[in-house]
Amino acid sequence: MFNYLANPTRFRKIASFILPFLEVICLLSLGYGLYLALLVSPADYQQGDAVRIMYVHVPSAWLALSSYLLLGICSFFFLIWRHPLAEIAARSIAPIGTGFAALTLITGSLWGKPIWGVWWVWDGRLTSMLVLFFFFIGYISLSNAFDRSERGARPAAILALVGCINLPIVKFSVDWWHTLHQPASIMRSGGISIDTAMLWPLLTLFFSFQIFFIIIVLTRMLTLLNELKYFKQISRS
Amino acid sequence: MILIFCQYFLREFEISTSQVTDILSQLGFFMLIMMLFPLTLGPNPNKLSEYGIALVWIAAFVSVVPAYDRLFTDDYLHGFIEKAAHNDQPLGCYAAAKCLCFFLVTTIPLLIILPVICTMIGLNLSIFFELAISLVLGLFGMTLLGGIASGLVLGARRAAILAAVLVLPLSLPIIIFGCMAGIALIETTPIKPYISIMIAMDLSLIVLAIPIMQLSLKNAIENS
Repeated sequence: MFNYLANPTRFRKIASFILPFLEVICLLSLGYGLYLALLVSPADYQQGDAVRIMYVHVPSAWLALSSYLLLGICSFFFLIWRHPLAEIAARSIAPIGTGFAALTLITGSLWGKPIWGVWWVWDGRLTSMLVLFFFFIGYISLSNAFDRSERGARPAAILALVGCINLPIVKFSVDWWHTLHQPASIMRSGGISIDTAMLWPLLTLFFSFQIFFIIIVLTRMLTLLNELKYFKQISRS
Repeated sequence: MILIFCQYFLREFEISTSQVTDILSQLGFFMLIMMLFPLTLGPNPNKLSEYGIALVWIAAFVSVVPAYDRLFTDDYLHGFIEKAAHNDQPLGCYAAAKCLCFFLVTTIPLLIILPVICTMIGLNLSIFFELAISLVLGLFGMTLLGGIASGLVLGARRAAILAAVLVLPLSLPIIIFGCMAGIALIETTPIKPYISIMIAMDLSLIVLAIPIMQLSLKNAIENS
């Protein structure tokens, strides 16, 4: 399956074939999810309408985390089997993951201001999301730091793997640091169970965000492939 | 293997001890950072001694980070790494010797100056020994992480700032547990669990960092 898809020409064909379908699915589910989230779902009895920020915040947090994982997997494939497509995929995932991490932080602080009364607290989860953001920044700046752009691919892939090992440790140490110093006051982790009226729009939006993510990654990959092809032709002529 | 390691280590040690000004300037940088804290936080001795351990940790880490990009750069530019790889000598051995030497050269002067700094900032000297142990463990892990970053940024533009950006997020667990050990020292609760975790992190870093450094050095000379 991987070998079948790893051929750039075949990949290009398949990707450009499925992209329009994905776009339609994304638009439909996004519209339906937003309709559910903004109009149908009830306001929270404590938080009021501010709870609707959750429908953007939580899917982007999930996506930020999973895109780092995906970045690590792509880097692994690139390091072991030297798949050119894996490198292109990693390179296309990184900025999008950064964007979602930033979106999580921004919507989180917008949500925090009316509910907690502050823009930012040094809570375990917030801090580890910030660290994730810096991991992405490090990856992007390392992969772009060389004069020949393909030279940065392998160092960046190694860095992504180191980050994958390190990220759980960071998460655990940050959580421990937090819990030892002040009792968990604001974020009752695992305490809030979510009602189906809110869960359903959340899952719909999560699905549409996921499709959106795939669309952007595929588009970026196609663009990078075209760019590579273009440079190859230039250097040949 | 051990013989090659010793040879590399002796070579590195001679080179770095012949460059005394480098060591002194790094020490001066450490003291200057420490001097900034009383000037910014105010000269109140109670406040300073409350934050003292965290300040020492920050100053120690920040003072070593700018040195990381030159860890392998000189040898890379002079072709020493390429020569070693050409002679089929293990690059991991070279990297380990280099890191150990770098660690000794940066940490020992810092430990010598540390009692003075502690007194200046109002830390009780009775905790000096434990503080020094946690700092040594932290700087050891930090050096290995710095070695990874330094290997990765070989040949990059603006390598110094890039290495710092790569090292600092990776070093968060070390800094957190080191400072928790320091806080436990002040509150006179047992610090042994933190020290054990730091030793565990250092040992696992030895296992992980050396192959990674070898990989990145090899990659740097293949693609240069």
